[in-house]
Amino acid sequence: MRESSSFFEHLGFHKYIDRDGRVILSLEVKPENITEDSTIPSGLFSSMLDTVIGSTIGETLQVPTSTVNLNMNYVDFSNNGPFSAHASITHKDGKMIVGEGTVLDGEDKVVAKGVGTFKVSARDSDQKG
Amino acid sequence: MEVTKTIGEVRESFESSPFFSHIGFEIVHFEEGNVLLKLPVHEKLYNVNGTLHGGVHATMIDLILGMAIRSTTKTRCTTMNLNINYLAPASGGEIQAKGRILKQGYRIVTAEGELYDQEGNMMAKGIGTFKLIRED
Repeated sequence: MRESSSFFEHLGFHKYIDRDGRVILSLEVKPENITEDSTIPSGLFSSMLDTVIGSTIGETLQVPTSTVNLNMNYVDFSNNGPFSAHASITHKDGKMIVGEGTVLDGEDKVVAKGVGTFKVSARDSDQKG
Repeated sequence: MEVTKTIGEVRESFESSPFFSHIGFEIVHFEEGNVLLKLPVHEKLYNVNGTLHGGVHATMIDLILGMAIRSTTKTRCTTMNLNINYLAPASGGEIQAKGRILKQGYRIVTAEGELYDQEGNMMAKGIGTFKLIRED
């Protein structure tokens, strides 16, 4: 099972496990990751949420998953980070797993939240990241 | 004061975004309320499974909804909510996105869009709520 994907590296994400055992995704925003008016594209937060929820499921349950649904609310685009994201598993029913994730700015203020439904994949290579 | 842009200026503002270029998006067609966006699926956009990362689907649908809205209203907007249903994985080739406004209010707009592969199969569908950035 690979630790990260090429898209993960393309955007400059970093992943680590904190003292509580949570998967933390961090991002220092680079010049190529902003919009024409120097704001953060919401797609960057979407990518963080998809990745951190999928990674949390993978690390916790040791199963490969793929995303079925992702529902995101964006709260604040007013600063340029750095950002961090964490997630938790809220429900598991057979092969369907629901998790929720939060993106925080450098002052621990919420900038985006998301809920994702993931399906356990048959193949190990389906692991998110 | 709110600045009204031409359709060409709106298109140019999208294409001048560093993030737009960094992902590799290309505008195929850009008219008022009728925008077609494409994305060559490079390996740099893959997840660990070797298919397109879910964040790319979400980013592309977010973008096509914003384009449908801005090409119509000529007003900047920001995403408030986005809901994506993932229908099929993608690897290689290119994908295209289409979007349309479902309901336009003075400040709040709801739009929907889809991603298609080269054979015309729907790969993802999304609906989003956006806020128009007005000065008054």
